Amino acid sequence: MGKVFWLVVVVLSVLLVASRSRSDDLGTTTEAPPSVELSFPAKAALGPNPPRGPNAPYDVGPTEAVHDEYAAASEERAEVTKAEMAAMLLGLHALGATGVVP
Amino acid sequence: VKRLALVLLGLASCDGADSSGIETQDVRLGPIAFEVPAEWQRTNTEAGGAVSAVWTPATANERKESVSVIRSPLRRTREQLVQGDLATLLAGAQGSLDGARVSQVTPISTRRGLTGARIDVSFQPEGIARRYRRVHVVLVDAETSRLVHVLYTAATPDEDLTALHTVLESLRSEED
Repeated sequence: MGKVFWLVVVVLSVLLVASRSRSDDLGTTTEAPPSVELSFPAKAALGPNPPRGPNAPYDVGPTEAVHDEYAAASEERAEVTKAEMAAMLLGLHALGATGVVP
Repeated sequence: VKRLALVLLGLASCDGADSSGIETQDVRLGPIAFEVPAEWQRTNTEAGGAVSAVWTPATANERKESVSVIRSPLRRTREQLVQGDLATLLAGAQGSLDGARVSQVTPISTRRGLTGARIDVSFQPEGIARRYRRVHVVLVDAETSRLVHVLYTAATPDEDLTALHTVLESLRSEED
């Protein structure tokens, strides 16, 4: 009985070694890949509410403030164009300087 | 006494003075004739089909006053202008000046039957630290299908706007 037990142990060991050597031949491994530690800036470093808008210390991309500024500038340009058109239709030129005695 | 006053007033009118009692001179701008204060001198300009002349006091001009008269072609039909957008155009044009504060546009008609609109504006001319005030009157010259602009501009305006009224009360078309 004891001999049979040891025989089974030896056979299993041989099979296990044979199996490992076969995996190595195929280039596969069962070892886990090295872990890569990804680092991100901690949220605490930016503060709970990072400042936005024109005074932000870093580029936050398009914001509502920038959009509003652009919209206001467009509106202003439209007003100027309308005013220029009005002056032109009235036949006026350099209206701001007309008759101004410095 | 009243009769004497009327006679004196009549004599003053015959002597080149307008109803405000100031000495005046007769001037022309194309077919437009009018009066300006006698002591004021003229400078002519022309741009974009508009002919203009500016009068300023020949001597001391502490108020920085001037009267500009501009005769410009109508860019729209007279009917379109009379029907209401003259006021809109006038407000739009003067409202474009730096720091402009404009009044309501009011209809105006002269003693000699010209009609148009008036706007008052306060603004800060480019490169000048102080604010100026301006009264802009635009009249439709029906006979020549042109607009006549009369602009009184001053840093410290004359409260009676004497020079402006002198021009407006005497303005007439004298097409040859």
